[in-house]
Amino acid sequence: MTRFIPNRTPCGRTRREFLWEVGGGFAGLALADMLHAEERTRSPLAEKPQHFPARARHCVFLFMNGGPSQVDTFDPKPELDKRDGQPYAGDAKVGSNGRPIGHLMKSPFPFAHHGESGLEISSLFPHTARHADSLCVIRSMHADTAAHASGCLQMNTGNIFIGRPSVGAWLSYGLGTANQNLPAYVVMTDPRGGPIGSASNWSAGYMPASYQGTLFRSVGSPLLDLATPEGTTDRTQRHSLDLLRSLNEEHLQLRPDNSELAAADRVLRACLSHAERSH
Amino acid sequence: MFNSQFTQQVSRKFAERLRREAGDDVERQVALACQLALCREPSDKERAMLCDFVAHESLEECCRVVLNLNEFVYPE
Repeated sequence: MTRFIPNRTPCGRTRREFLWEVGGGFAGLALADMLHAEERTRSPLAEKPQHFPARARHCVFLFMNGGPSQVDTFDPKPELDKRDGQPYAGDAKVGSNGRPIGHLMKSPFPFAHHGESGLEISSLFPHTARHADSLCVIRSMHADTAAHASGCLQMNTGNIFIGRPSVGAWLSYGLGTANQNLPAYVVMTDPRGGPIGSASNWSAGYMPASYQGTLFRSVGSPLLDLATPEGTTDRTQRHSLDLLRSLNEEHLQLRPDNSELAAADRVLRACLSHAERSH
Repeated sequence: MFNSQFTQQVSRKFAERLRREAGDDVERQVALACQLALCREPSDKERAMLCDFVAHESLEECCRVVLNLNEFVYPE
């Protein structure tokens, strides 16, 4: 009896492995859900029943692009202390941006245990250290790259390449929102500038566009051109929006599967309902 | 895009061109708007809606709507 041995492909994966890696996994869960016919008629942002009761209803995620190193703040490295001043002996050939790798250097900031949990925090954060027992610190995360842009992307989407949904997109997909007139996922950037890689960090990736983050500007009007232009009466604005919606609906009916159009339609409906309420 | 000053300016220019090239006939103006912006003729229903709108509002305002149509904004 011959055992079935699948042919190896040039990329070193069986067809089954390849399909599992590109299409299966976590993404398959979303796909199975999206293919349900009833999902198409419902808002993709409607509140969803959870597999487990969830106490959290919101998530505020502060992503500090260019913040101080974990080695100097919450993640003591005893081995690094021992090897202070020694030449680097790891696998990497060059450092970030092709720069040569110098000698190892321990953190200049001493760590101490804080709170009942004994969480180690460096001398950089004496005030934060008093709240040690309110903090949960994850030290097991690492990146596949030393490059900043792709590292940021991996922090926000789990992958160093553009195209995966960001963590906020997954949350919007998983939890939905109780508010159907405002975006479920809002992004606010530092007035001095957003993170490297900008919008790819809050993208919906391969998921429907409804789950992408909506950028609120930190300077001036949070959403540009939200107000009716000067010289346009409320009545005209209303007529124009009505006509726009009617014509877009004709167009959308021929393209029911285009999620970008559907997302644009929902934004327009939200604008209309806000316009109605403000009159 | 619907409320920006830029769209207002472009809508005025677009309306000027429609008047220049299609004359005063609203049906011809509306048809030319669709040809230029969408690369197609309007359907009978669309033609009726757009003409009715121009009669009540203005050609400039109609241009603002056409330049904001999903069909114009999102390439296929």
